[in-house]
Amino acid sequence: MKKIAYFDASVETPEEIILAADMVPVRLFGNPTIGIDKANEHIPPTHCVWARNILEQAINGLGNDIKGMVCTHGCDCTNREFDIWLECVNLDFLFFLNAPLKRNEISLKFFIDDIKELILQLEESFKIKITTEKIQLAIKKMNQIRELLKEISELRVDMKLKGSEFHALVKEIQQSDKDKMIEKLKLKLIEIKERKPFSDENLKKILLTGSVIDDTEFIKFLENVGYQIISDDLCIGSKYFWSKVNENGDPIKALAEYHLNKPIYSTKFPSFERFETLKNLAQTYNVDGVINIAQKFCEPVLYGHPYFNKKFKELGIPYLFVEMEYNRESYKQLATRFEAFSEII
Amino acid sequence: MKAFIGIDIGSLATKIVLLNNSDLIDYRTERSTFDFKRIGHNLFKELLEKNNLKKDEVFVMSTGYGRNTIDIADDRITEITAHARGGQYFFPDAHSVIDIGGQDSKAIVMSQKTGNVIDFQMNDKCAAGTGRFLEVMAHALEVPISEFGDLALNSTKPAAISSTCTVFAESEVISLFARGASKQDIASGIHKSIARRVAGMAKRIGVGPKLIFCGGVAKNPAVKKYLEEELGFEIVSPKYPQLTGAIGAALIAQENQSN
Repeated sequence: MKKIAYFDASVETPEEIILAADMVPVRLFGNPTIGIDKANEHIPPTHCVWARNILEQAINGLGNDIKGMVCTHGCDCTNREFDIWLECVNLDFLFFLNAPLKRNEISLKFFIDDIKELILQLEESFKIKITTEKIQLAIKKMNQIRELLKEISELRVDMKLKGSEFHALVKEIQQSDKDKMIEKLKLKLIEIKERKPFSDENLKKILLTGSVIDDTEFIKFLENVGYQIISDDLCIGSKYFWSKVNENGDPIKALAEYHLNKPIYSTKFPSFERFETLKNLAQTYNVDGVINIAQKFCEPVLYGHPYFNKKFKELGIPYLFVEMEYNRESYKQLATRFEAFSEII
Repeated sequence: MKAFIGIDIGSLATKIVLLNNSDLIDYRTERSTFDFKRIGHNLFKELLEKNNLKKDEVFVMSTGYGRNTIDIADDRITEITAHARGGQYFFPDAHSVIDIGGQDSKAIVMSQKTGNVIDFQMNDKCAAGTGRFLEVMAHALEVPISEFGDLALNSTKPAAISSTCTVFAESEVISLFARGASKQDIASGIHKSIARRVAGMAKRIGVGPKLIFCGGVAKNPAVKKYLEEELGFEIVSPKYPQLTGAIGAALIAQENQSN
């Protein structure tokens, strides 16, 4: 089966459209074990390390089965990188999907029009027909995934599922055949429910937020320090299955509404709207603390931190902000910060 | 009853203290070198022999950069918690700490009610704002590090150092010297630069009086004076500023054992 990659710092790509084109949507992730050389010829090394890492992989080739790429408006850095993709990446189909920042009637219409443009471009490039029925079927399929993931994610709270295992699972779904994943999730849910809870005696329960955190090894590193991620507002996490897409009426409008009605992601603003979501999650799950991670040079998250710091302090909820390098060696250097935070809470 | 040993393995210096009933009985310090495990072992052995103690008569709490790699430790604590507790040993009414060590600097705020750490900031990625910065600059000016602070305080017209990078600041220093600036004015500018950088980090977490200035750099009178100017209030330094982390570790060990 053909695959269409998507480059998205905020998980607002309507995967249903790619599924309705009978292709597999494959989210692009960084690889913290590679060096960045070619991408640095196009972008200064003081710009978002995650975006540069993905560009490096794309210049080197994403593999023969990837037939195109959709770049969705995630943040300003990834937006502008699309220009470089057009010049440097060897793919016949490259489309920029302009997921709006504002949430109102005008932006909804704008997003619907852009999704329609994506459909048109896919149809023309691949000589296919994306029908309303196919989109509706894809929505049903994705809703099933969302429902299963939501139920599985709650098992983190019950101490039956490690945050790292859940993270790896969501990553796998974002890159795999959805039909196979539905079957896998069904079995996984039964299996995890039957597990005995692990001891949480010395574990600190955390709400994790921040930039795109796509290295499962980093979550494992946090667990080794003594944390259990029981809640998050991450794109490889709860933002991927926040609610369900309306299965009645115009499916394109339903998809646009779904993405625009989700709480705003960390790469977008205003911060006070994001804070309300984080506050509600922290209070609902009664977490011991909130950890906010900025990938190196991730400007949107860096801008948001001072406001969150002030507001969480006012609420008396322990809050740690860490700007990290995108390589595994650097995790060790950060250990003191995470261990000290654990000692505080 | 056991005695308590705190060992603070920093990137530049290893410090070890022996506490009995909260009294500082003995201490040792030595440069860490790359083989800080061996340095830690040697200091530990020396401290035991000098005080006629055996390993099973002491409880060892390690802290600092090398806390997880030293096998003589019975338990470990981060340098953030250790410095906060060690600072309170000298000044029980203080609720802020600035520690400038050889290769990092940190600011800590403690709760006025409980004394527990509530916030902290660390710089361990950039040499500017650490003791290493002062060492490099003292070397560039050919001044012994022990005299560097006093030299800066003799300045009448401090030079402006604008670079925030150690390497570029060194070039800037050489350039200032070539333009005829005096050593004391350049030294003053260098000390003001580190104070500005550390104070900026400390202000972000809301430090306030009474603030304890510790770490090896706290022995430098110019950094202390300029930090006070930047922060806008007087700061205090303990008698043994470089031992604060080790003392804090030993105290925490003592408190944990008595609970």
